[in-house]
Amino acid sequence: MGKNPRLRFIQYFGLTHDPFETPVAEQELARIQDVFYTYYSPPASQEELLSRLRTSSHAFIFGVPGSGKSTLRLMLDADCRTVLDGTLPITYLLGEDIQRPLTAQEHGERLARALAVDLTLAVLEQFNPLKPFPTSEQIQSLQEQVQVGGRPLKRLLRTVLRKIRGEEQADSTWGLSKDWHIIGKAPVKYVSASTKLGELVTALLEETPASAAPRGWEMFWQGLETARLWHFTRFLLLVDEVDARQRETDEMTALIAPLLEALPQMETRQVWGKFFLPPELKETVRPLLKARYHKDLNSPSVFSIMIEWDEKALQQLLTQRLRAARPSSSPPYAGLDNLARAGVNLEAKVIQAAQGSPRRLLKTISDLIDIHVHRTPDSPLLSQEDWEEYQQKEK
Amino acid sequence: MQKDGDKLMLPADWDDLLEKEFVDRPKAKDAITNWVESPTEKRILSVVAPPGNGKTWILKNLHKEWSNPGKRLVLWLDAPDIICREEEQDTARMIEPEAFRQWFEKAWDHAAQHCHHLRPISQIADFKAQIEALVEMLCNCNLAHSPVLIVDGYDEITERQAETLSLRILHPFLGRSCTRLILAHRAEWLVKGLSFYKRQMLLLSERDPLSWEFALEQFQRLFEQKYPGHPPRDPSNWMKEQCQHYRWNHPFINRFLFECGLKSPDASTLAPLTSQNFMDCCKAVIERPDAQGKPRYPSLTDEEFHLLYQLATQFSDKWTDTEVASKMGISLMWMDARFTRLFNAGVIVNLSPSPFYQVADGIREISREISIET
Repeated sequence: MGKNPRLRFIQYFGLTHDPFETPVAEQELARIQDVFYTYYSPPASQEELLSRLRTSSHAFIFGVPGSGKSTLRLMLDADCRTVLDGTLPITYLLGEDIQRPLTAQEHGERLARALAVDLTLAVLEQFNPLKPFPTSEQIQSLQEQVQVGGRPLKRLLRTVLRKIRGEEQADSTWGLSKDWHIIGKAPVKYVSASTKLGELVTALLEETPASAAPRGWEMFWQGLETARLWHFTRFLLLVDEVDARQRETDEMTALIAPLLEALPQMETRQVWGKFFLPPELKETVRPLLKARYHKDLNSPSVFSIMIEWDEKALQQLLTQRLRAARPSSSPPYAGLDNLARAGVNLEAKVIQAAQGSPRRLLKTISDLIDIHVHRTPDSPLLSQEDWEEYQQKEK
Repeated sequence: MQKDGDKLMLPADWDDLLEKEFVDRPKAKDAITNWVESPTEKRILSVVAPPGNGKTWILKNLHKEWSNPGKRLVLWLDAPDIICREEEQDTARMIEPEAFRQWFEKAWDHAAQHCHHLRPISQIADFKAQIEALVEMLCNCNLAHSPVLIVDGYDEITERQAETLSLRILHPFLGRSCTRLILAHRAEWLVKGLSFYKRQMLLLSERDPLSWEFALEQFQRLFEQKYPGHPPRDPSNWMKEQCQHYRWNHPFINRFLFECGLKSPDASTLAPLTSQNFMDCCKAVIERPDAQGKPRYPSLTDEEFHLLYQLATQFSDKWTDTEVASKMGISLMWMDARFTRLFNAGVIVNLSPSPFYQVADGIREISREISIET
């Protein structure tokens, strides 16, 4: 009985993990790497969105916080890493460490770091010992990128090397890719250890003589040249977390303005921006695009969409999560009502309370479970009383 | 079929026998062929039906048709064949190296007939690297048709085994955009490790429900095997008389019951079906041997069989677990444990996504034919 009551609740229903533990995509990805991607359940209107986002066009995806922008971004990244066609996704997070709008130079350098990390990761993921070993030119230029990528990337490479050498045990399900969390990424495919991969990683970790490295955007453009040497021909720049620190429209707009300004140069190098933005930026991005890129959000070469969820989509999201958390060998739960007393109609209530926000939906259910296990720890099923107490607290 | 006392024993090569008696299901085959021939972003096709409903049957037939010389490259993988069934924890040991080697050699030989400049692939590397190397060469080969991998028995291995199979074999196969994958499984089976790929679903019973004519044709094939050269006979009256509930719409059950009927000593009559026949049939559907002749699922205990009988006879076609628990006066926890066994064996199915369950089509009706003294 000493067990965490919430864990007991989850286990009572035969769930392998808590599908409502956190409603934030990155946190969820860090906790349950193995099943995160099986949670993906886009609204029917967005089923083709991933394919659309993989095309060679700039894209603007607007959505309120918690509407699933980051989940979509992570899915796009995973899609490019699993269906290989020479596309390299570059995740560019304008995270909480940014205290003021960045200059164009600073953007260029941050982008170069992001590219170095994603390129190295892609090389490891796509390495096949049955293919010809990389040329010295490829290795040398990637060595320089490893320097650009910084300390976490080197730490990852050292960890990978220890596992290849057998000094530490690799994960039996995901192989080496289980350690991608060191650089904030999740595994999307099994990566096996091989002697040849060990040779490559050893070479990448060798210190290169210091040279006059370019600065700013030049650093990024040079990184792209290295990526081309490794047969990447197209680049999707996934820009997210614009609102991680600043929520003021002007500040957020200023943060991305240098990137919008660089769109024409990116385009000539086959770099396609995919911007995941809060909805209030729609009106500020439009004039910037016109002024600096001479295109509108409705232009044929620019794609934009507002993420919206209806009740059916939210219901489907719940079903998908419960299915993913239940072993296939057990009958699946159709929805939240399987976890509640008969006649409470809890699912309809929480969906209505979510008002179209998946994050609010998951948070509501999580709070409800906490209330329940605190109120009646020995009674397994969620009840009307739990719901009423939740409503009281929300008032 | 052998006889052991009063009990009908299943032949070990059940699937093989069924294959010989293949009765065409043109609607399902057309739908699958249409998917394979049309451009689509959904590169996985899930052929979904409860156990024993003819998924393997249709796919084996298509495999044969598509593999005709000069046609499409189609590879067949029986998932349980290369999985070490006893290994449920250590994923590194789940794929049998020797079984994989044999399968891969065949696959390579077959691929080499379509792609003439296929280079030999060293088998020193791991499974994933070999598949990736093969697929890359195939996709660079400019084949007229997408290579297809058909995976049968995906729901006959454990969830963890299926995930390992997905990550080490199926994932690399789909890693280049020229390939297609067909997976045969039950509706409730979550396809793990392949969630990045878009999937088309084909629900067999909706697309191509089995007809009375199908059963008649199935009977004729069996009859011809048993009485070669004998004029065909029409079993319609016998079929109507022997079953009050069963509608002759399940290929496996049809065959089992026809076999019982054909036990009659002469060709002009069919033996009447007994309650024991229906009970044996019900158990046989569950235990159906796989390609290696091993039962797919362990037999039900008497208690489980009794629960199945109650579900089939005392409830309407669709019910919820809470409804059953309340009517039978038992706890949901008790229900869940028993349900899991029946669910696992494909005896009860969830009408996903909904809270309703049902006893699998066919099994429900033959259970209703059984008379048990209570």
